[in-house]
Amino acid sequence: MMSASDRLSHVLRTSIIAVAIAALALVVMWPMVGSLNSLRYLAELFVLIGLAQMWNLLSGYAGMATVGQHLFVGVGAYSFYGLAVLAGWPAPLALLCTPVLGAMSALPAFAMIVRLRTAYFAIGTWVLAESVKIIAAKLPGFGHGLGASLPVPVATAFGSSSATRLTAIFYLTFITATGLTLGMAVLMRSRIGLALRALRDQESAAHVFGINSRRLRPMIFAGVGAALALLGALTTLQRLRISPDTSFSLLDYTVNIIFIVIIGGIGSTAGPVIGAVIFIVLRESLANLGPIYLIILGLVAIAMMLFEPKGVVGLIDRLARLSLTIPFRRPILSSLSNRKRT
Amino acid sequence: MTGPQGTPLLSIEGLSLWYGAVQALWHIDLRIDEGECVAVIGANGAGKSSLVNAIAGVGRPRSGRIRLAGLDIESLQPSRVSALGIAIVPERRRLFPSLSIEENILVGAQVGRPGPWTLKKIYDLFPELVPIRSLGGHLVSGGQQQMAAIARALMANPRLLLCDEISLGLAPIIVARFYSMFPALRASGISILVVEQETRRALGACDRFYCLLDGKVSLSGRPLEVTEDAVNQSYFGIG
Amino acid sequence: MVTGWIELLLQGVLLGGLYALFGVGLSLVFGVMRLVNIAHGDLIVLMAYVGLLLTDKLGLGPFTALLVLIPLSCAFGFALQAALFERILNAGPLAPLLVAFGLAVVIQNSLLVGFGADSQKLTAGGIEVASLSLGSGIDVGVLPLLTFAIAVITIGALQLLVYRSSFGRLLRAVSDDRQAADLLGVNTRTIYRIAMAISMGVTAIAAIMMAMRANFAPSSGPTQLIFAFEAVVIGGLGNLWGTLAGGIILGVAQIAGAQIDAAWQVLFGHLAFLGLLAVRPNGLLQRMAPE
Repeated sequence: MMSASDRLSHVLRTSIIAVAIAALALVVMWPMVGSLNSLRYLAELFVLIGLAQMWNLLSGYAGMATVGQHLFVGVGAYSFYGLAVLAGWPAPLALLCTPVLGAMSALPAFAMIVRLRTAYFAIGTWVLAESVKIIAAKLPGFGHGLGASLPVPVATAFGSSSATRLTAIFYLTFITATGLTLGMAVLMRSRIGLALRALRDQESAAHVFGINSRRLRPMIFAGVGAALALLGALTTLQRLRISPDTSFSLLDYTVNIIFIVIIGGIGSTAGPVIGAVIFIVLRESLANLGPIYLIILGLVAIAMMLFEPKGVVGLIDRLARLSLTIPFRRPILSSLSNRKRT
Repeated sequence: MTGPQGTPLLSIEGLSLWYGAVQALWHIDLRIDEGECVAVIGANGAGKSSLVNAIAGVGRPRSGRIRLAGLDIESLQPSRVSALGIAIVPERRRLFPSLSIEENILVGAQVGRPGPWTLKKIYDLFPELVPIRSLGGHLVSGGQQQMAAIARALMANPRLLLCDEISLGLAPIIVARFYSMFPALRASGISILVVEQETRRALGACDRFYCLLDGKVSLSGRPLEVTEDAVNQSYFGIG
Repeated sequence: MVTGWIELLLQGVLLGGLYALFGVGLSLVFGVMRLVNIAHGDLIVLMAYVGLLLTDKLGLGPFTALLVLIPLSCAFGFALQAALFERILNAGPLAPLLVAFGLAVVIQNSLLVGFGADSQKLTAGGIEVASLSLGSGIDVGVLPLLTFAIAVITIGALQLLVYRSSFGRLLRAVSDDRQAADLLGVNTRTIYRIAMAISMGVTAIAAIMMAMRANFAPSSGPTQLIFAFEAVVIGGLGNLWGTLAGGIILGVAQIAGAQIDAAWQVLFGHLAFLGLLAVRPNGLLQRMAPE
């Protein structure tokens, strides 16, 4: 028997899923109608969503907050350049191989800092990222501190005109972001997701789900490293160049991403998507404010942590519950991804 | 020494306490007069520690009153409550592991209440603490830890001493020693609230008792006025 | 040749004094309330700018400015704890980290708006270039020597405060078990506020010493945070003299790296940190406790 309020929340949840499917369909059709500029923005949005999902996976679910996510983004960018330009591999093959290199670099990184706890782990990832960034500036063939542009054959490998190239990047980033988002939703409903949540709350509890927690953390870390490297390679395709400062950018790939997840909603799959959209909209509308934009972002993030730690997702849940007068029911939006099976 | 118009030292009226969605205490009424020793007995999870913590100012009651000598204290910070003269010997001692035994005892004095207790008087009471005074709190025996925890509470010069499960995990001979100190403490003007799972010892030492069951007072009175069966029944909740 | 090496070693050791000053404030706050203040580096830079205002606008000398800055900085720390951190400390380990992170970005960009991106330096009337001959042709800078001495004095004073004073007793009690301290009537909230105030007092000292030694800009904070963090972790969490040892190791590694290539300076520090972490995951020295 469903109560009236349960039915209402069911209707709401179904309609949210319907809206999401309609939005996906629109996005798939978009390159046929949208301007090139809109393709550029959307591709950037997709990359942000992917980056935010990965930070959320580590910090919001797996209890491994990092401040060094730019490490793997940069490794991806440099791997792609190394394979496609220096080794002369076909660009699509090089792109496909970047996640492998990302995962391979994540495992030794994890081993180095695994003994640091929580916040110290976070800063440990940062030290690693800064170290690799310095080394990247010294690597022969990568243009040292100034970086290097993608040569024309690599830049045009996904399309010779800017329209075809942007469309190709649009779909590549779209598939990656959707894949990572759906992957997160599936992962969190799986045994691994339950084990992760248990692990976050209590280190020893994960074995209840038959999951080896010793292996789970490095596996998740390697998976995130792989995804971030792919996103780094995709960013390189967008920007057509690598450099230590831009490819290993603390601000672009870590600071902004953390804000996106805090504002959207930490620990939910919808949060990073909502946060990324808000971020892009805010940035474009406040672009002429310069550093004041980041001050506002920082203040909003602090306010979120103080008053609504679940971000906009938590706010929406609260409003929905108020307007539907659903007393202490399951959260609506976050439960789309997070429904606990008890 | 009695309060104005015979006001009890501690009076609790209709106290209810919740942890999130779980109610831990239901309308508790309790009274301790000056110089009295009162026992609260009950099984594990009956709400004894919740009651002690509420008196000490940790954990806000949802409703009800706690008065110390007529003064409302249920909404005060724990530091204010101790300054007014309530000291606690917490369950499982809770000594600070990175402080020496003597430093642990001195933490009690930070409340700053004037009174008779000094380190010298503490060491007269527990001479076996003297040789171990500079050892870490976690390196000494359970009995010695309990002595330090009692000493720490006494250093606050309390009017009311809350003893939460002081016999837990200790040899009977040591527990007997702690209880044998009660008359002298009471004579010096300290009232005592003893919380115990171990019923017999507590009932033997106290003037009156309250038995808690599932967060409610299931029986109260003077130890000599009730039968063992009645106590067992209200303790376990079975006939 | 040998004197050259000794000079470099000394330079590294003395640089370590500065890093230890960066680190002890971070270490104190972590030790007492388990807060990793990721804004620590930006707070150092913020105080350096306040110091700059005091010297430039009021015409104070750097050490007179420091005497004004320390109480200012303490008050700021007290207020920061009361207004911000104490509201979030009970919300799990992630929330305080992220609030401090937000604060870091706000400070950085506010400084950028207020002072511009150009790098600044505090003029100290000549002592920044003065040097002292130790004989056998070995020279050391007066300012690094002074910084090191101030670091040793500061850490010694903190050590006395934490391990010999009645306030330090409460500080360690709260650090061990906040709930038990609450239960015993210790005003833990006030202890936290004072701890943050002390940390910011040390931060003011670190800020002035840094500002006289090297250029700083609004964006310098994260680097200072990393150095502070490395000194603390190398030395062992919760051990103040350990932080000095950690700072010295970091300083020596950096100076060694700088001999090969200016860009290697920071990298060698990082590598020393990561290498030591692999060998001694708990740092060089253990947390201090009664025997």
